[in-house]
Amino acid sequence: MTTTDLPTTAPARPTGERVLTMQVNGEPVAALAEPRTNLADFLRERAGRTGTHTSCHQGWCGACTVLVDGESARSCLTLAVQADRAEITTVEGIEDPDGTLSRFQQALIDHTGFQCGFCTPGFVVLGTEIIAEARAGARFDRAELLRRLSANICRCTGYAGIVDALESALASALEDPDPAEQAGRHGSGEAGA
Amino acid sequence: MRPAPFRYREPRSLDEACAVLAAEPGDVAVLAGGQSLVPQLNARTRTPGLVLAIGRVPELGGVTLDGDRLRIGAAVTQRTVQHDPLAARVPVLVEALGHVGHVPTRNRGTVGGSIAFADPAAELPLVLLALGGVAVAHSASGQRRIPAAELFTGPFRTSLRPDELLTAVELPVPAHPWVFEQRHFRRHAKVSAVAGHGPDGALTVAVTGVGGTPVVVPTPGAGGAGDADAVAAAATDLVLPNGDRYGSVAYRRRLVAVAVAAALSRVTPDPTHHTPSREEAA
Repeated sequence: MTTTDLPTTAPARPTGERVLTMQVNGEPVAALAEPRTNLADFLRERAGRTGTHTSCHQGWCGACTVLVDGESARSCLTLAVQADRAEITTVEGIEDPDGTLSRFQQALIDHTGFQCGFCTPGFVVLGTEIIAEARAGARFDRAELLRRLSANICRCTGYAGIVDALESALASALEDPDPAEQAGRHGSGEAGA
Repeated sequence: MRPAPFRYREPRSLDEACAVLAAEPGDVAVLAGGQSLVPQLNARTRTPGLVLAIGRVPELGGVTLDGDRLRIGAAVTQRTVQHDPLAARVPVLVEALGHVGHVPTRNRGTVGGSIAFADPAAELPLVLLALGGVAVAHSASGQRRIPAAELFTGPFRTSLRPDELLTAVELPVPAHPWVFEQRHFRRHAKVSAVAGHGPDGALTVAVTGVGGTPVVVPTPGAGGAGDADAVAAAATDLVLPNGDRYGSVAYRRRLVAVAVAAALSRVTPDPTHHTPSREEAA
């Protein structure tokens, strides 16, 4: 079954549950969810993708960051129904199908960019979006990377290893373009608070 | 925590959205990007009977320029506006957007949503007030244009009626460069200032993070460089005794004075001149 086989407006059930369909890491997923179900819970409990971590449910920590149609989002602050018919990329979808880690994932290992690992899925997704923007022409200095990575919280590393890993992966990605890596929609960098 | 159960409507037209609001005023929460509402739903500080999702209403999209007015549809995300070539005509808006949340929240959060939420520390309500923008609202009984000065009535409070939907915000394209400055302690005790010259050359300074709403700083006869201290002092006097665990009143007053001084040091009536912020200069 593909997502296009279903009617655009699936009938609501008395509980408010409705069928949601998404492409999750390239695979179609269709499952029932209440309107109040957030995307993080839908991915973990309905799509079986437990790599996306949840903690604060307030948007502070970023552990639940996923890509929605190529753009990073807090999946705890996104209702699953808002992502109906969207393409979702979770941390499980970052590596190659054969299990080869992405440049940034490998760089996180090489630069000790994690300790307990709880925040790592969110950082992997966040960094993947930045690398996609760099491939589309954006340029990032270390100060800008710090601003971008400040979106997510890591309580172990002090961030230095994460920033080192992203700098290294960015340099490597720009030296050796690989068009297979996902391209983001927004091509230019920006200042963040 | 997870949200309490609610009914969910996803109208496909503005008329349908207004009809829903007219039928159930008061028990409806409007959902655009969800970056302010969903945290409240998750914490159950808001438990609406119905969530009205406006993200797929076609009339609420689009950034357009009508003469010297920039119009931003209520469903347009902050990140889209940041990269929009028409929005670039209002550089102070783009500068302020860089301070709103983070990229993942700006990817989903909307300009209209932030303004309707009316957080007393938020950047976008300040920009709307400082530039003299307008909030456009629709209801089953028609359209209402609300000047920013009449929109923000208190912390998280606006003059939007329960049956009204914010459909767009309009900002005048300034003839002179306006500037945005923000000071905070690790993103807490956040204080922001916007300054610029109007078409008649008069200086406007507005600040937020000082009380319940963004406010315009009285600048009687200000314009000369020597008046900067007086304007900063006037802004300092606007800080209400709203100290919290993140910043005492005295600390906020200091932040306001510094933010206003920084804004005034960059602002100029020369339309060809742009002084970079410290973020740009970094």
